[in-house]
Amino acid sequence: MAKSSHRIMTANRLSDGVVVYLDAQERWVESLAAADVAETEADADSLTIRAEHAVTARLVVGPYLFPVEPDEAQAKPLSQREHIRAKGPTVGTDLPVPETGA
Amino acid sequence: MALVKHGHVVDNLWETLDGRDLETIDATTALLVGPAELKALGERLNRFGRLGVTVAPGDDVRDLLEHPERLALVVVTFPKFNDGRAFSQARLVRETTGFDGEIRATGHILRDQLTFLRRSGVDAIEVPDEDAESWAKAWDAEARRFKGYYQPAIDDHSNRASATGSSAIRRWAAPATVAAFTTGAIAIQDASCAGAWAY
Amino acid sequence: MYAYDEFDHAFVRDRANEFREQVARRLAGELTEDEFKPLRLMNGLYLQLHAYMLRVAIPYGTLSSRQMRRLAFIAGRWDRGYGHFTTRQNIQFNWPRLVDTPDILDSLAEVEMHAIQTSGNCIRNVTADPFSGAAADEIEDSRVWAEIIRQWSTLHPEFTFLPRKFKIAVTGAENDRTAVKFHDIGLRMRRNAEGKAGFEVIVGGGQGRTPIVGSTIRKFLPKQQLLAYLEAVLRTYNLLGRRDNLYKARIKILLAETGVDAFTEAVEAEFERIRDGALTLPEDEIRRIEAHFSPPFLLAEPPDPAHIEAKHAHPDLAAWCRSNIFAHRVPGHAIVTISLKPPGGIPGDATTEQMEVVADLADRYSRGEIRVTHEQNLVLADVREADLFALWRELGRAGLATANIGLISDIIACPGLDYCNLANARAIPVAQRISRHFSDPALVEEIGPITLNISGCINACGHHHAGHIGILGVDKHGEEFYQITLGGAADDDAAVGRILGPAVTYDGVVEAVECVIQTYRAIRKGDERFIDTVRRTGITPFKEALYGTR
Repeated sequence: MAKSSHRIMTANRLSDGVVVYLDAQERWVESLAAADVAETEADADSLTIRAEHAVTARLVVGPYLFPVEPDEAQAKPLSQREHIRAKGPTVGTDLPVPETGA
Repeated sequence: MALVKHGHVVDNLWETLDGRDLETIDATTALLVGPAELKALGERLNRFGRLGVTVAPGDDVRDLLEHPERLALVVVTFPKFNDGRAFSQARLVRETTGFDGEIRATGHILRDQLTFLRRSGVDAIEVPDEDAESWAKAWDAEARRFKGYYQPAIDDHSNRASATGSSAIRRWAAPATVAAFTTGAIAIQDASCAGAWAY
Repeated sequence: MYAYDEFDHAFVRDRANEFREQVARRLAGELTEDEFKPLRLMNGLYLQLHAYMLRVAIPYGTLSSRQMRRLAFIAGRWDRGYGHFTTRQNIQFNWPRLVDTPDILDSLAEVEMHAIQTSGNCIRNVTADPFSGAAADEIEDSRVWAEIIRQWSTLHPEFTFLPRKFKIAVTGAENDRTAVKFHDIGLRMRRNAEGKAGFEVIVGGGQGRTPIVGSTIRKFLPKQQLLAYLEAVLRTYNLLGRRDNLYKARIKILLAETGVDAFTEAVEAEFERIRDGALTLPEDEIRRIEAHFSPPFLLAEPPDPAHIEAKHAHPDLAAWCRSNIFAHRVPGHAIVTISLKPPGGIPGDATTEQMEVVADLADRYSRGEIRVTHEQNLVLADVREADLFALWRELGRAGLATANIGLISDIIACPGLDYCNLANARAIPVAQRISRHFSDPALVEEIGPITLNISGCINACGHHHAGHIGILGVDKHGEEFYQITLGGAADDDAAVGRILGPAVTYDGVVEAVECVIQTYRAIRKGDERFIDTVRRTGITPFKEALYGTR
């Protein structure tokens, strides 16, 4: 698997379990494309601190950083797992809910 | 640390050795030692009117409590709340050792475990001073939560019968809580079941 | 089936209220996630890849049509219109919101259902024979004992924080349909020399990282002493099971590390201490539970000419009868298994609509009762032969008439990386590809009885170790690979499957399975089943076929 220093902070929303990503405006968004990308270690630390605040504020649960491919117009996860978290189950009869829904 | 015993905040008068020389400690002190100390100090502990031992989750309580009549307190520990060995230890202390005193739980416990502690034979919990009152309230609230239980346990003073016929395994909770229950189920106190489990 | 009295109703409502308070405390910040997690797990609520997942208990896999309709309602109201039936006879909802779960539990309580202890380090759903009460080879209805154990184990104060989860299975038939030898405790109903029924107690079976067949520690246990014996086993495990390593905490490890004899000695000593105490089951209590499971009065009927005629006229019906019907103890009746494995479908899934259809059909054709099998299918246990044609047609309309029970497309698969936090690889799309590949009914029937199990990680929730063909998804450098095992079995000749060779790619799995099947068809003798051939020849011919020519 390719390595990358670019990372995104993700978690599940406490109230409903929905997969969310931390954006640059302190919002937890459902769209991977809108997520804040940490390019340096310092950026990543800042994301971690902000995520911990969100845990204390009971917004999200279980935050963690994951690597994404750099130099892309839209961040692409390196791992199968994050790809599925972003897109939803690949099983065909189970379609992901549109961003603005539910 | 504060003590909550049977739902009441009580003074914690117990002391540990704390590196002190045993002979310098007054005999009226309620003294709490560990299993190694209990074995090592042996007869030198006899002069203490109130003696207690703290057990670790991996200890065999039956080995430790060779002379239960000398002890007024057994403390079982929860290094983390999900290490559930203390429940079985408390149960065995009550049922097999002849120990007649207080069983206390210390360590990391959740209020959601109070019913399990009580029903395993635990009388008291050790909690931070500032939380004592809320724990006392929680002890009572949790004791009232369930109108019945599905298995015999240590704290049962309850009857055997369910409303639809006799059922020795499950039982209604103690009468004080049944009063709140309004379906008209009859609580039958069956004295013969009192001997069914050791207390 | 068991009907709640006011005791049971009160309990399940009290438990639901407790959970409502726990959720409120979590949302108010009075509980950290670390503290809340074991509490929510004790109510079957996981946090998975995309969402929370709620596992609802279906005790020993039996439910009423009313309960099935409520599950359908819950799926529609609070989820995405479907549910997943599991390898432990439960049902899972994949998308509930935490804030809705108290309402879901209240709704379940109204129909005598709950999610108590479907997860967590406690005693889980006790599974039983899905053909209970109907099969001809039955000694006694295993569900009576599963219910007795269920009650005793519910919120047991001593056994709620065990070293690890604890799974119990009960079988009351000559032929084991519950995989008793792969459970922490397996109970086999037996008759002693005097003809009295009791239990053989098997301990320390399991799958996961260290799959192993259980050991018999007690050849015969009188019925009344069942709970005392179980308590002795659980107490021994609670005190001595490892707490230092999550992956070595099951009772099977304790048994292996202590030795079966020493372990048995410890259990028997504790059992001796408590055997005549408060846990002795009184006759009237046994009878109270048995009364809920008395076999239905069914009139024996001669073979129905109209049914025979229908099978001639409809070869598909005949095929379905060959694969999906199991012999009933009463002549003129049938045990029907409804396949939740249509070609290309998600194994074990059913939509709201399908659940409602099954509930209706249960009312009309099977006394309003449904069972769930650990192979992720549904059962209507008391269908009249004369009704089979009509039933089959209605099932067909709802996409529920696939004729593949116990055949190659009756695949058992865990949710895998599409849903599960623990997974390393996907399982469902692999199952979909394989079942699409083997969709020709004639070929499927010709291949004959075979089990194929897929797990997306080493936790083995797909029970791949016990599959005649087992497939384990692994992650190699970020890519999905699949290890193939052969020769596993969950029946009376329980065995753990053996690895065939290096893992194959996601794209190579179908080809690999095809190769194994073709090899079998080439070398089988007479009407040997797949597993018989593997037992006779060993895995070498299959290994050579798959890897040898490379």
